[in-house]
Amino acid sequence: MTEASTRVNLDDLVPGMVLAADAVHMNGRVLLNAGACLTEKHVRIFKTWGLTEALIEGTAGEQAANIATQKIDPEIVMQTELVLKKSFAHMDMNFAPVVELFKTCVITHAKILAAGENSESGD
Amino acid sequence: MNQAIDDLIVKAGNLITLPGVYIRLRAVIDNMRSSNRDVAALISEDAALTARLLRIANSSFYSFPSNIDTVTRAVTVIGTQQITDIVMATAVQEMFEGIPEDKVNMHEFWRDSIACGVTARILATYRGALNVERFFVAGLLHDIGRLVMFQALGEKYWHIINKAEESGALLYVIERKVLGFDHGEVGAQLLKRWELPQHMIDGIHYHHRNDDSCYTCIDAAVVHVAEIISTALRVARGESDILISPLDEVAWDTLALPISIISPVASQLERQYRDAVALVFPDSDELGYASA
Repeated sequence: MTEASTRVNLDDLVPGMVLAADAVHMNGRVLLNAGACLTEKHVRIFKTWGLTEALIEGTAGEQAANIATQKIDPEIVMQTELVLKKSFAHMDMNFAPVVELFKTCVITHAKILAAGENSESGD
Repeated sequence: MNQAIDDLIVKAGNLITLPGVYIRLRAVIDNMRSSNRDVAALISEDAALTARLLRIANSSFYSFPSNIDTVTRAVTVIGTQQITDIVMATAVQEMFEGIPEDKVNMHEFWRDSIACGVTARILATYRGALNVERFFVAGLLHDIGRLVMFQALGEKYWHIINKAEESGALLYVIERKVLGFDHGEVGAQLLKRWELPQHMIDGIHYHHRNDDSCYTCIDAAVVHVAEIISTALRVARGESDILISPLDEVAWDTLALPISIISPVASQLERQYRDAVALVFPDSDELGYASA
């Protein structure tokens, strides 16, 4: 039991992170024990097995959780959040799955905006 | 049984009976002793369905090296479960063809329904459900009550929709306020008339009901969450600015899935959506993107 641990999505896992809990597949099989330091191969195996998240020691995970968002221009992210907030008006923004859904939507929307800016051709 | 809803369904007319071919097909498939040949024989009775099935079997989705020219081969290639879904989707789509386009954008309606169905199937897959296609059908039909209301209520239903839009309220809340029931209940009653399985009826009945007890039913929980995720992503793609219904905590807990599932579900939806459209509606290319 580590005090500071964060849940990190598969896409945000990077080699060097330390597992705070066993990485367990949905069928119950333990893929990697707590305390293991992640390598690229581990992450690849997680992906193959369809794992979606891991509990990571320390606050490294917290920063990682935002990596996906950080790759996109912050101005676009802000614009996107503004547009999406209207549709999320009736949602409980303190409820963890809603936060995650909102984040996923922001990334989706921002990616489309970014793609549109890079190539005006668009379909 | 709610009499007011029943009256509505009767008033909606032509959609009261589910085409016999679907019911007979279900019976054949549910019978352990039946073979693909029995399924093929049944489908061959319906010329339009036969044509559609052959077109699907020969479509790029399956991309078989040789032409599939018999129904028996098509059934083998596509699989009986998928065929039931295609038949169901086709039947339901045809049933509502009479609705004038200026009233409801049917393309948008089916686009949203397919997205919800695909999302429901993905969620069910993550849960390791045995028959994931049943969740696809439940998702596909989740808003069918709205079509009944369009047909039976006409202008009155438009007032309800406008009222919801103007006041920034959720549609089903206004429906309940004005009519005493929402489109989930109407859809459920229609499915009951069609004698579809109870879990499917429940899935549609409760998809907007913020009454915690009903979300212990897995079908209702899956459809509820699938509707929210698919709607949110439609908004994210800039195809709509519709209000998203609140996510029910009990429904989410019933799924027993980690939060991290949401992002992969979203990317799988993007991938599977087009295939699903092509499979269900092989003729309408324009369904892929909003015409508006």
